[in-house]
Amino acid sequence: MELFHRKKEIYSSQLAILLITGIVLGFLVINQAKHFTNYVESIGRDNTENVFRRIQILKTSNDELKEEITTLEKQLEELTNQAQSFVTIDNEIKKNEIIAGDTDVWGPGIELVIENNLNAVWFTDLANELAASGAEAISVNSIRLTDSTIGFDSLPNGQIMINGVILQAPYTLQAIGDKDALDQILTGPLGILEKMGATFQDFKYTLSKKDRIDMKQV
Amino acid sequence: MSTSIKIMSIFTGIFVGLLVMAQIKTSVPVVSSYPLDQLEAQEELVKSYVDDETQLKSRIVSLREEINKTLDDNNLISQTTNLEKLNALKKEIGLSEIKGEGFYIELDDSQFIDRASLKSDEPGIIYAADIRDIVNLLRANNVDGIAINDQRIISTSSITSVGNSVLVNNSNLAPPFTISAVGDYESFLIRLSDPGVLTDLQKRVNENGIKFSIKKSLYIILPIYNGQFRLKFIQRNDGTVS
Repeated sequence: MELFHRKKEIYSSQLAILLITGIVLGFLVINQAKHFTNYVESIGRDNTENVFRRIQILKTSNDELKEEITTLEKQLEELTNQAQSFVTIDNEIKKNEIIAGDTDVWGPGIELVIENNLNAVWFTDLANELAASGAEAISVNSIRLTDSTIGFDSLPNGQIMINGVILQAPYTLQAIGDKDALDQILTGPLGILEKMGATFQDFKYTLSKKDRIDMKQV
Repeated sequence: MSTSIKIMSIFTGIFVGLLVMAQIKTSVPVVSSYPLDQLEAQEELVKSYVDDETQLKSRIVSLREEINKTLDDNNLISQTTNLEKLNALKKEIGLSEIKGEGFYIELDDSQFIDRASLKSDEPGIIYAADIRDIVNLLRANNVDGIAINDQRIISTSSITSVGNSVLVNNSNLAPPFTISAVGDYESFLIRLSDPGVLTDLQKRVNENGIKFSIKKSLYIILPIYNGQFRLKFIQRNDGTVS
């Protein structure tokens, strides 16, 4: 009888161990499935923010558009004055050279260094996030992104090329702009760094705010 | 203990684990607590901002056109070299139209889909990410210029979304999305034929009814960029202020 009870105890403990092992395996399977989310899928790459964010974007954008109108009206007025028009054209050239990347520039901003290998989709989304966050100039591994250089090309061996240069990790992305705003948006909830952290098993990056970032002309 | 019982126990455990984990991962849909009139007020506010934005951008375009005309009309013989330089820069940064041979890419949601009523993970709609990927492919193909519907794309253009709304240069665009490009059609077709590009979009075209077409055109006009340039923090390195 005692032998029978002992056998029953052993049997129950074996069953409990097997059940617990099964439950743990179940946890691991689901967790692993989530970890290797394919970031190439478009669903999940965009934010699902709400109407408040939309209103905030519109308000900021409209304020900036009004400032642009003021600048253009002043420029038009100066151009009608022949003497002033020479100065106006020179100033416009200097301003457009900054935008086009035809001159060395500097300003406060952020520097983001990423150790992991990235595909073209990540670079596209990173550059877009920085632009949407108010970056006035962006560079990747010291290559300024302008209308003539931007375009991340995927090579057959998986490498990424931009402006004829193959990008190697670690990747250094720099952006000139409001460093606090840029930092906040990159690291904020549902931001791209959070998404990258969820996608890569061992995501390594450093993000620093800088008082001075230099970018060479293209 | 019999082998069958052991196997059954393991599978039962795995199943229970999967159920528990799936329950933890599932997010409960949040039912809005806002009364209907507050939601309507928010939508009215968005609409009024959007109307303002349209008017402001239209004003910007007309001012830029007027400035270009004034520069052309002015008798600035001694400034000819500088004018040429200015015009070249304007072309580079999207402040003048680009005209030439090119192609259109049309993207549209799956038929019978009502975008406004959908969750944001519906595979049958076009996402901002899809448009970004196509724009990147066009840039990698060295096209001369790109526009999406009436929005000219420049290096600092953003293509984002809020919920299911697609924003280009902060302007709300509705499908169908027409991406116009001035550039080499044949070389872009070769790129598109690579099975490794736009894999997710291709899959959703085949499986979820997303509409995608590309058409060559002998003459395309890309509009002037109608947004603002942000130059509050950036400066030239030669000591002059922007």
